[in-house]
Amino acid sequence: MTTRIRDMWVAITALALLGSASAAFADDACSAYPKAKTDKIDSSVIDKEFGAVPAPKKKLHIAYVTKTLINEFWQDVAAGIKDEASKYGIAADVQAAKDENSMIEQLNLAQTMLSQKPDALLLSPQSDSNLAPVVEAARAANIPTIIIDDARTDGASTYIGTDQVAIGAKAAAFLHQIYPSGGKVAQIEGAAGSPNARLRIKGFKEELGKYSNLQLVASQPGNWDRLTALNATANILRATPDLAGVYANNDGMALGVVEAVSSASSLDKVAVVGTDGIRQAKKSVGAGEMRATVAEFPFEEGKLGVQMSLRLLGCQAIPQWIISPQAVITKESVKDFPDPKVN
Amino acid sequence: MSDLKTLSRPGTADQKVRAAARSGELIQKASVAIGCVALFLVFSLLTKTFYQPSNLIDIMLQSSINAVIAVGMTLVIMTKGIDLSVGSIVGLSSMVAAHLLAQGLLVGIGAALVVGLVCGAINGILIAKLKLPDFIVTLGTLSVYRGAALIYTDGQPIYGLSKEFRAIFAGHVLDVPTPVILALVVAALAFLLVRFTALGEQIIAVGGNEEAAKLSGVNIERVKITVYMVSGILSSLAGFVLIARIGAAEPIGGSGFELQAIGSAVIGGASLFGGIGNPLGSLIGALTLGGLQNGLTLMNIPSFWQYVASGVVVILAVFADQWTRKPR
Repeated sequence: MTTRIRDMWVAITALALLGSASAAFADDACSAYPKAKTDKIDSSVIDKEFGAVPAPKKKLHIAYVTKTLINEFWQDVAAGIKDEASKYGIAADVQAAKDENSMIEQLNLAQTMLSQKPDALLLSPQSDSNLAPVVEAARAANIPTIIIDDARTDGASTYIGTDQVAIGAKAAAFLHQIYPSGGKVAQIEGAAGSPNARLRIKGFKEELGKYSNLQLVASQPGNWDRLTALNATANILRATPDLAGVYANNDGMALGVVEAVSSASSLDKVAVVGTDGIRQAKKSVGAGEMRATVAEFPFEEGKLGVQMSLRLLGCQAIPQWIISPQAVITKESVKDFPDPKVN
Repeated sequence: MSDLKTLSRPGTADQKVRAAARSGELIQKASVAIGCVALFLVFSLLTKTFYQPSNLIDIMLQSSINAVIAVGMTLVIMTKGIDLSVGSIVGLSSMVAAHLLAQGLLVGIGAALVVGLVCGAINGILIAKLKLPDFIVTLGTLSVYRGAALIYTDGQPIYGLSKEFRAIFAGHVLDVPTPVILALVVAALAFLLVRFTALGEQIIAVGGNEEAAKLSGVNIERVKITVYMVSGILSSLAGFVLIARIGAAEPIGGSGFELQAIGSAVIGGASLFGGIGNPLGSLIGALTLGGLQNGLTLMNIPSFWQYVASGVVVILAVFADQWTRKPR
């Protein structure tokens, strides 16, 4: 009697497993983790290389797990995903951790989202490793994983993000452009250990090295924090009253720098350059406070995330790195970069 | 201050409350489990994924870190104390573990457990020997231990943990995740400690009525220091699971864990007035909070609302607790 019940259970479990396995693979004619010919591609030429984004053959469901929705940047990525998804009639679920330090919370969220077997899983991981178990599990189920910006995770289908070294370099080149005869400049750095901070610092210093008349007098930690950046800049200005420019690794810090400069010196004498292109920074640039921001386009990155999902599901062997756009926004060009609509 | 309050509380009324508490204990215990099962049933009806075995295992896995900490928190709460520093101990000890794992598996694990033990001992000594308020002491050490974790590597995370460490603390035994086994073992041991040992009796006595416990010869200081040390060492253990699961140690890791642990203990029937609590109940409390987050995510409820929901559930649990304990 008991053996019979046990056999029955074994049979039911086996059937259930078979069912879920066939559901996962039924319409996947190809691997969601293809081997591409090149290791990276600029998003502007991807249409030329791979053709149009293949339209979905059925109603798709994708999931996006991001860092936190209390940051405008990740809100814009999520908005871009929802916008592009609705264009293709795709259902898109978005979940986020409470802040950018909650690694285990994000892992739990991502696991829960994956258990619903979405057609594609889009992720903006807190660190290089915290979502690795989810990427592994998705890979085993042949569900494509698309990492959007900042921390990469080994083994994902593809990574969408801009070239951070080029961002730092563009900031240095901009300072050279407005001060052809040189001057003293300083840098406010993002949190130590953050890949974005490391790469932007590298790009800024390398490019600055090309202009011998631009002298880097200080490079101080700002910890991605407005107040820390404000205090650091005040100290730098006390030591270097003839400072000509400050590059901050993100816009939040750049806005802190603006506060420090406007109370200790003058924004005419000290050019403040930020990074990201957040709304408040663009307003500041438009008002002639910040001189420029090297912008990334999170809304575009979100849209690219949906497009790459469709390309992968359509069996296109896209490269591991999709380089998303960036641009220097100045007072003259700010009108060309309207804010994305977030609802 | 709190001692004075205990003294001035009329003994007879206190005894009445405790007698009622004992008689209501059965209802109360059942209500913890019933609440959890009801929540799981609701989510099973609302989503297609929730009740699937793989998701239920996920919930247990996702609740395990919190469960381990909540068990230590329960013992502290039973002595009428509170430990707000658990999240920072998780951060500090996991940094030490990740750093010293390079010297060997046992070196890393051993050193981190010692760190947890010492952190707990410091809490306990400040509270028991110097008679400082537990809330303030552990609020202070919350900041001190977090600072120490940041100083330890100058704010840098540590990547690259050994495979064997990750296999022990984030692996599987017969498809059951090891963190789940760890949480079950920890809760069971704590349950046995409370139920069947002299220390368990003393914990209940100290929390129930410190003066009476003292008069009957209980070494109050020793009991208090011990529970904070247990809380510290369990925080270290939870830290192992944390870094094994995410593959890196961050000095900021574990922040905010104290609230979840206190919430789980309270949902599990621990009374912040001391003397009452059950490690197995706290395990169910952790599962309730874990299941709640999982279910709300499956229903695609935005994360901001999930914080509201978690808080409401904790308050509801306290309300239910008060109601079942009311002298009738």
